[in-house]
Amino acid sequence: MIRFDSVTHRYPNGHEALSGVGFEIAAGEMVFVTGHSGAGKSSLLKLIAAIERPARGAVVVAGQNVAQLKPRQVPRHRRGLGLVYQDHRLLMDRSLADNVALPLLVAGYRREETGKRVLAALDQVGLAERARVRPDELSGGEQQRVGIARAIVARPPLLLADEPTGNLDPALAQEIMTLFATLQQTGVTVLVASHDLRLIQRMRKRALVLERGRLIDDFRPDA
Amino acid sequence: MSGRDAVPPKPVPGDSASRDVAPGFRLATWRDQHLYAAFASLGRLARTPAASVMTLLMMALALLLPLALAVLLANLARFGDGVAWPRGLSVFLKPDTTAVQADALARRLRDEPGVAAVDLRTPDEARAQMSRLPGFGAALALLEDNPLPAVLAIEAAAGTDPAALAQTLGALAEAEFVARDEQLGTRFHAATALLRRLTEVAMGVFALLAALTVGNTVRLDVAARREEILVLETVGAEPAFVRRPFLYAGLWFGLASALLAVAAAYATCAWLSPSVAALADSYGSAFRLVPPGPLLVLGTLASGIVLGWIGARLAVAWVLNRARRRG
Repeated sequence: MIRFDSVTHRYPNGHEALSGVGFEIAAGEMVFVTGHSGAGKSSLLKLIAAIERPARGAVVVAGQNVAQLKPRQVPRHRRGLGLVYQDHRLLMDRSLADNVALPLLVAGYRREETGKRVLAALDQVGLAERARVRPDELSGGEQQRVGIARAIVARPPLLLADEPTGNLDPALAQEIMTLFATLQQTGVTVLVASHDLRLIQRMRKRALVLERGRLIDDFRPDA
Repeated sequence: MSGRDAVPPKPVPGDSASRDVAPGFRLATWRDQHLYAAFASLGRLARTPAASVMTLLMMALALLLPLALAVLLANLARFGDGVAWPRGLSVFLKPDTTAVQADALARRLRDEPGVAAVDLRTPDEARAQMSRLPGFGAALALLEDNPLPAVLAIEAAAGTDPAALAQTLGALAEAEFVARDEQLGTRFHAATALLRRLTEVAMGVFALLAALTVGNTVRLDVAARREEILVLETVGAEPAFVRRPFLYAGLWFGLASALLAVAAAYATCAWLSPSVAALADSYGSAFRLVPPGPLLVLGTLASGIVLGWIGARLAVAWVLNRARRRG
């Protein structure tokens, strides 16, 4: 599903976020990317989402080298992923349903289908009954669940989450991770960037460990 | 958390990214996305009423000024078409020219090849004609002597250059000066042509002003909604989808301001019409002020829409490109 071949990524200020990183993730896997702040976790996700481009190497997602995508191909690539952010990135002037509907709206789903899928996605995160309220009426954990509903509403085969539990208490964090694991069971490939080692250990999933842009460990609990 | 334990639907590879859809479906999707953008942009304009009204008024003014000039031009053209402009020359004879000399000169000129007709108006005839003009009768009655000279009203033959003929007539010993009557019409048409050019320049300048006005408003709107644009881009929105609500905003501004400008032009014409009619009546003219015609109205509406769209398009492209360059 995802392959990094000796990927190096440099920001315009010269900072090297990733250095010669290489790994493979099979379809349907749930994998954590961990490391300290500045280790390159977010950069790795941004490369997969074609938000950034690598300086060297290949980032292959579903057989397509993302680094070679033309600008006009990027939106289509992103419609094949679900993105979850630590800060949720919800639009506060819209209802939960409108926020969750955004990926379907841009992908061109009909209104009836959109309505059904939005309700299903909100139901999946336990917020179907609050579809008409605005995000600022929700707690941080609930907002994060709306972010997840938005990421999964178009049923993408790949879900990327950047520190999705960073602002949540341990119980809520565990709930979110359990939700990701449930999604993985349906065949979604899930890649979660997190620095919460205890949470990662509890989940007993594969973890890629980054340090200063280098992949220093590829931990597999079953190995 | 009612649905937390429910098994979510299986993902479909490329479900949202590469669905093969029937043309009818694509058309319906296209229509849905446009309807969404159109209504969403209207909603946003309504949420910032003060800024929206200011932009609307500014743009309406920018459209009204060239429209007013165009209405003026159209009315001047109608006025010009209704006037029988004199095409001859008037040779004013020297005061010491006797009636016999004037008559002899008239007969002599009738034989000239460049002259089609000569009509002699004696000082008495001129005085009688002038006293019929409102206000002049009483003034002329106060004068002991008739100050008016004899005049030869001459019509140039076809193919004759009026300017050359005027020069020849001006050189006559009996001629005091020669007035080219056709110059009145020529000057009127020249002034109208100048006004038309000025209107064209005004149209260009005010079109730019209208586009800049709407562009600046849209630019601020794009900057204020940068976060929303980022979210749209990360969920895979095409650039056209991101731009569309802003373009609709420009289009609404253009349409509404053009309607306002047309309404203002009609109101101004209605307000001026009685005064213009009274002035025309006092000169014995049936001229009436006519408001903008259907073509001018349609042209103004189309211009408003196009200018609003162009202004918004340029502003969106500029802000988004700059944001992308800055990362």
